[in-house]
Amino acid sequence: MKRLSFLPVSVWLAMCVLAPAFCSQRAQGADLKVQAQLIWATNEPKSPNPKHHLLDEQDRLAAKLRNTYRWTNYFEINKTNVNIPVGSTNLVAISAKCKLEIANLGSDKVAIKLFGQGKEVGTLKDKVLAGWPLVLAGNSSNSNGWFVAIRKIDPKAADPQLRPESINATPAK
Amino acid sequence: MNHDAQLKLQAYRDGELPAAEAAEVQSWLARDAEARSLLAELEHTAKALSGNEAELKLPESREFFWSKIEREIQRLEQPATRDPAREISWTAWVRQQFAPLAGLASLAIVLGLLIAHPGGRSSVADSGVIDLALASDDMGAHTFRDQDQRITVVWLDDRTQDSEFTTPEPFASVQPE
Amino acid sequence: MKTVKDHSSASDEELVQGAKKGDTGAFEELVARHRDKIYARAFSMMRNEDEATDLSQEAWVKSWQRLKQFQGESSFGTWMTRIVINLCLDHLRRRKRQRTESIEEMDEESGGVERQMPVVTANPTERLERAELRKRIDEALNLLSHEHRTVLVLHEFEEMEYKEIARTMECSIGTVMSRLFYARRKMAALLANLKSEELR
Repeated sequence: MKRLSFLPVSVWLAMCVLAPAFCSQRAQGADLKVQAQLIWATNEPKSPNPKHHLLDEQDRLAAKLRNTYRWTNYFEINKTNVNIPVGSTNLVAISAKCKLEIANLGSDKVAIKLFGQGKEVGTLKDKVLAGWPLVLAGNSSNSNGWFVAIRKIDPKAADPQLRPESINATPAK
Repeated sequence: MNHDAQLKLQAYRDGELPAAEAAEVQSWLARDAEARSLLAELEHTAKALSGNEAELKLPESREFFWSKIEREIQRLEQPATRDPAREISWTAWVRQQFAPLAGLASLAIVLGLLIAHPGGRSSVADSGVIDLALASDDMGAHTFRDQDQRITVVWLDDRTQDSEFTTPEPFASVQPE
Repeated sequence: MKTVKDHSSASDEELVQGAKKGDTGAFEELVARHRDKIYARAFSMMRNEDEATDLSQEAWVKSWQRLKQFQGESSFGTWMTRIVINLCLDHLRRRKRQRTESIEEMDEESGGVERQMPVVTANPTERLERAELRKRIDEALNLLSHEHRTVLVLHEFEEMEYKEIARTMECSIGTVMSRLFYARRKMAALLANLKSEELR
């Protein structure tokens, strides 16, 4: 009886030690494809810059932001996709004034270092998953707001907003 | 009409005068047209304002607003709940009694996750507290993880009210470049 | 298994009792019920959306901390409103200390041009729709000084007596009466102006 109860525990222990290692092998070793998107939030009906495109009702991120914040309109200022090998860091210039340094820590975890106007603002470490945007945000002038959303791109996702696009980020030195 | 008389008239209108003085004002009103005009103006203004305050709604969702309050309450209560004596007696006992069981429970959870998600898919919902390090003491941040909407927001703000430095706006302006 | 209580049907008194015992769910329901009113009061005094949001949040945190002091002498909503009013006043006092007192401010305190203003004989608001009137009042409130606006808000919207306003604003009853008088006169002139502009 004693032997019978001991045996499953030992099997469990072995599985526990080996299984996460086996699974994380896949996640940790893979490149991470993420999308960084800069958004301007406002109640103005139009952006002064015609290049900025209004994120409509179909845009899932804008819908989430609209549900949470007071602004009615969300304009995409820029969008950049980046491929980061595990253990590497890529520098993403999301605008002339804002840069992100994104490090792939493995297992979908990233360290995002935000630079505003050349100054380091802070570093955020968290998981970035498809369909669950990780967003840095703040107030902008004239009672408007800015959002930098980081999303994992899933090549198999049905949502076109999460499919990979051209990669134009430069690796950090 | 001097200023004291004006204020007395207003106090009469607001029901702040004792009965004897109110009677004096009434007889004064009966013989002074200027006083009556001023009283009428005070009445109109008070009536216009009464019940006509603009109806405003807090421009934040219930969940987001509450998450900020809850976080602040937790932050403020943290030192108060740190009772070393209590911690030793209770947590040590709990650790001794339940550590082996907790280990087994963790194994069961890991196994369950492996069966449910053979690809090792992870979830933000179980990842707990966000690790955030700010470069300046002048900056503050609050984080908001909405499980329903599946979004995590780290809101950066400036703690010094009068500082020129606000959040690092990522664009100089939205004017065409 | 964790059970989630449904607080939506509970009275404010029951929620306060629950919150006093540490039930954050009960407190969340209180926040949800009164948050707009508290925000509106903060906005009426600060005239700034961000400041009003921050101060109303601060008021809720303070109320959680002081909940044990609330013995039900007034309604919970009234008690909460007093907390946010006091926070707004503290904020305005701090702000005033930081800036140099201008001639214009001193003039406002002593009545300024309102003392010589002619009396508005016709009721300037009688033909306005309610929504329009609310909008006009809001615009006019924007043009008053903090001191005049606060005294008007406390007297007309919070229905406080002179004595209570004096205690809240930490000034004499005479100052309250004086400020209220000038605030009303200025308000009458502003509403009359707004109406005559509309008729033009």
